[in-house]
Amino acid sequence: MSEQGGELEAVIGLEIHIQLATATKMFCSCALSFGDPPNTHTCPVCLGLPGSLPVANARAVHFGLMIGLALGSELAPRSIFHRKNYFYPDLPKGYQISQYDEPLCRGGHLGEVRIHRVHLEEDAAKLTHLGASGRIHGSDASIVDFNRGGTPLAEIVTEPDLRSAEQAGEWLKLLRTTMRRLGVSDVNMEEGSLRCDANISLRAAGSEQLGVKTELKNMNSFRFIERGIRAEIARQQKLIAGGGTVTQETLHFDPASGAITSLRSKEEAHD
Amino acid sequence: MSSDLLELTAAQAAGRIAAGELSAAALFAFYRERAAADRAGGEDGLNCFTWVAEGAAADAPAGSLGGVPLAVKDLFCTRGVPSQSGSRILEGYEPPYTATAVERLREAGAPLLAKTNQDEFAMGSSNENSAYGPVRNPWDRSRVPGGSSGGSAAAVAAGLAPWALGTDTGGSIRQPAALCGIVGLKPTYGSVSRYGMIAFASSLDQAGPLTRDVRDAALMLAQMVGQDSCDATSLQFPGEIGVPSAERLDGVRLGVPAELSGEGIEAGVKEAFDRSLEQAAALGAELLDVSLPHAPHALSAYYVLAPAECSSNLARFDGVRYGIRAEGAADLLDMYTRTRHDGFGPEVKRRIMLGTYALSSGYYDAYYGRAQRVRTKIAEDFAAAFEQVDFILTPTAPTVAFALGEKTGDPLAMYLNDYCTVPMSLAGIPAISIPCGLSGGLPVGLQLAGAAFSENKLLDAAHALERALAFDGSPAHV
Repeated sequence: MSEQGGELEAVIGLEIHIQLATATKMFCSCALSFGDPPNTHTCPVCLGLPGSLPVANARAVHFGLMIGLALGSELAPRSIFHRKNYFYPDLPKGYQISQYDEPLCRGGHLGEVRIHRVHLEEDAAKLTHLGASGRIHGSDASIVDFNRGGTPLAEIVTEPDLRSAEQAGEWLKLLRTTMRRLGVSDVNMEEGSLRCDANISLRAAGSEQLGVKTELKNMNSFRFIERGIRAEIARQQKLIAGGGTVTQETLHFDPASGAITSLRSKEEAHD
Repeated sequence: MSSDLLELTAAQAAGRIAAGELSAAALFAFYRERAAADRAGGEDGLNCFTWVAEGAAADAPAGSLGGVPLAVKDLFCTRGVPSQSGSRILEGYEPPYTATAVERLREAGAPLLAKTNQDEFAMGSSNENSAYGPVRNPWDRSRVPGGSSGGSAAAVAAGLAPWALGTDTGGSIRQPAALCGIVGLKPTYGSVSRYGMIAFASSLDQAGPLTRDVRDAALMLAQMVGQDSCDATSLQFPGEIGVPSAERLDGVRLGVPAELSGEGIEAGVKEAFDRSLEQAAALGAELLDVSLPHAPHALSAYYVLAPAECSSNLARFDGVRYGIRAEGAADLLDMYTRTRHDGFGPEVKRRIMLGTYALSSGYYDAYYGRAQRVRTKIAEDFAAAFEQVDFILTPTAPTVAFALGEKTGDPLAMYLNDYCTVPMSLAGIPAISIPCGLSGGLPVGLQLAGAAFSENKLLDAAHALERALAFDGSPAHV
């Protein structure tokens, strides 16, 4: 296999965000929607208006527990939500409600791949940057659609048990089928109800040590995931072969050009 | 007629309306005029209000509160009415929804009369941190009314509103009630919904009544308590809040903690407090010494926890969706920075910085985690004390009302105002302040605290003491 590049082997872990197929959002009673006119499914809670308070969606918690049972995880007897604070226009409260040290589920496995944890969180709103850059820096204006804001997500984090792009793609398909059978999500990558980030590092084959990893963000199709991981493995191999070292950073894969670029720190902060 | 109306407590006014002897519209008009005059009075007024109803009450559904108009602290969201939490960053902000506590009181027959001035985001003990100017104390216009519910307290004390709604995070109902010579109750945490209260410190904030007497406080509280599906921390109050009627304290055990009633308490306050203890004994109460060994650390823990929570709660004021937005910013970060620079006052900025530091990576456990452990110790102290006594008595505030400007340059001196009230807030237990006498012509408050959900018994004990103390609640100038 090409990405094992002789004596080096790839070590891959995945972080998968699954949009839960509940009727309403994670912390309010607004309906979930896709493709509706912007800002038509909002309320004081998901807009983060002053004085509003979140109330956890019982069905989302139930779905999270079902995922944990399907993956053979240990279900937390007591689980708490935390605030992840950062400033960004797609985050109306200035923090995302997520889970930190007491996630809903810990451990488990699917096939050969061990599960690190499963936790619940809310999705951010959708930002569109107007202008040539397509990014917030240098845009003429940015507009926010809060319909998606507050959508319930289950984040599934694997242990670094995958060894190739193909294996990662295959495993992700198994996870998708499992989630679909459970009925907890549409797991549709085009609509963003299944999103995947990959942590990738290289090490000497057979070693127990982990190398320095990079994080490849938000790949939105199975084909792109495999291509992206393959491209990043090749990039790291080339770097190491040239006597360089991998630095820990967050990367973006552009499926059109096949290029991998580093995300700027301000954008990186929001992950 | 006018002076006659001014004499009525809310309960008495509701009774007259129910008996057909007084029209709700006339009562509303009477108070609306008084409140509007204060608002129009500028320097001559007390500056109690940030908004006053323009005409008759939109609607005053018949209910047990009978149409008695209500003044509401600015930080409660009121649909279509400015709700600014005393801050410039929310100048002119009109929410699309009404806070649960205000809505419940309206449905029970208390129409919205006015919004009251407060310290910005409820951070302060003198009402001098308001973007809308300081409130004056009706007992002495050169002095502060206390804070942060200073506008609510001064309005009730001056007869500009029959009663008012406030919030208490570390003493923000009880301390201004004490400094203005009225009754203020902080209920058990979770008994009143926080939905629609612009948050300061979510694990401490509680809504409660500021009233002329204990009976009015019970009447208002009865309509506020209860679980709310919009506030996951709200609880079903066990039983109903009744009308307090006790006149004796026979068999009631009252604990006096040395930690909160000795050092740092002004002599005049201490004298009034000691006289109250004598009255309590005369009513049949048994007075006992109790110890709250961790209470002296309460203020330190509070000034880690409350700023930590506020630094997160106030992150949403970023200029993106509501409130003011700084013009001419170069980019997103510049817009955030300038908006928050222009929109927040100095005390709010101080606490956001303290809180952000306390929560920052690597310091979380040393500050926030440790303060939480102190909080647990304080709650355990109270639990142990309530094994021995029914209620704990302390002075509400260490001093009487101080001069405007006297403590604005010294934040630590300002924070000491809440020395006696913060421990109860950290423990989440109910506490009431009732006026217990004068020192140098200024009111002194007596605080009674009870175990969680002991409001009925607490109000009864406060009622008996109130009758015996017979405080004359009219400031000289009204």
